[in-house]
Amino acid sequence: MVAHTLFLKADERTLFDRLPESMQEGWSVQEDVMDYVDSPDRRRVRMSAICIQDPRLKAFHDRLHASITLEEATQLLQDLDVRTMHDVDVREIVYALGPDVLSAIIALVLRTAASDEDLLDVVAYSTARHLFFARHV
Amino acid sequence: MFDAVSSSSASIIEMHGLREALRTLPNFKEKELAMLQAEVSDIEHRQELAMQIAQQLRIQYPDRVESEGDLVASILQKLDGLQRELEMESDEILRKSRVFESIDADPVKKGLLKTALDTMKSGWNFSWKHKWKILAVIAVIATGVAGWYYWNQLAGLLGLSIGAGETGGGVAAGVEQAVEGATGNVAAVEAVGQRLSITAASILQSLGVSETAAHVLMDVNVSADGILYAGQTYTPEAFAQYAQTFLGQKGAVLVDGTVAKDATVGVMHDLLQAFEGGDIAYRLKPLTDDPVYQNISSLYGQ
Repeated sequence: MVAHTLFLKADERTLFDRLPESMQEGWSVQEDVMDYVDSPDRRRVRMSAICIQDPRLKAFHDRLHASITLEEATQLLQDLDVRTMHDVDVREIVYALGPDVLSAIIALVLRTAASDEDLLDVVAYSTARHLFFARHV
Repeated sequence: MFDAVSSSSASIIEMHGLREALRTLPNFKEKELAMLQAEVSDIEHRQELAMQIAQQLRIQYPDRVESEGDLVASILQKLDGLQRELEMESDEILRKSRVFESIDADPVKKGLLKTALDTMKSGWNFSWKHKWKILAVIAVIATGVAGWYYWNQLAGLLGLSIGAGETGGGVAAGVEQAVEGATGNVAAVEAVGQRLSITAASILQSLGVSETAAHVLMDVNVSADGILYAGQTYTPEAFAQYAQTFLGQKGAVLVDGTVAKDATVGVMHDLLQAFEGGDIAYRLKPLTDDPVYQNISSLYGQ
């Protein structure tokens, strides 16, 4: 089932294999190799080239520059209900994060995974990384 | 001489600012970027451009530009850097376009991505249990100084090292780390006292001297932990934001002198001038025997 495929690098596969067998059931793993070497410069360029269209997010961006705290920013995010954001904006955000950050997120979730919900996160972030940055043979 | 170097950087930064502005236009496409790149990479045009900038600076700051030849060389060096940067930007922007186009053209890939994005969005309930989700979204949207602040937090949470301690840019994991990373070639300005209550506008006004000071500050990259990296670019607004956010809170500003020492001195000079008479006390603490920093100390009697 494609929707339950985790696209993992070799080291991440090891983390997945360490999960209890009961948690591993129902998921398939496809090994992934990156086709993109990240760097601080590339990350900076991706960030500067981000193209957000949702006016709510643009307003949020402006508010962030008005020196608000993380707590305030979090509240603003919740008020925004980013779950209604358009996919075009979400893919911009995820692409800008880049492979290294996505890999770190995937490893973090795999190390602490306690439910199928966590593995669904891994599916989502690893799929995006696969489509954006992996080598497609 | 440092004034000349700083000022020449400032002019280049104006170009950088122009490019940034262009890119934010809704219809700005790869073609425009490619044209700008071609303009900068044109050798003859570059030489001519450098000479024009040098002449302008000589007229504007006759007592500061010591050698027009040195200035032209310095500007050409900056243009080389700008060209490399533009090439990389062009490559990255084109790559992103190609990736998105290839996904859009393939129903399977498009469906996979749609499912992935839907899962992410439904998981963005932003509980503190998943703080990384909050930080990942905020860090990307924030950009600029605020962005670096959240990037730093995200990197810390994920155990990532993203440019910590590097000269010339990146996010430093902490003040101490930056000091170590700069191998002692660092000067520190300790800001002591009350949190700054100056607004972005008033900072610029107090700097506002001329565009010079603001532009010199644009030649500085500010990290989340209050580290100023010479040789990078920043807008005056971003610097003002930085000053509001960190200068008062963190109580320390580090100026990395390893990249563009002369420019760094210029930045510090303007920084100190900007806060003179304000509600902030500062103390300069050279961490090196380098005469250039001793000179700053004596300048301000610290």
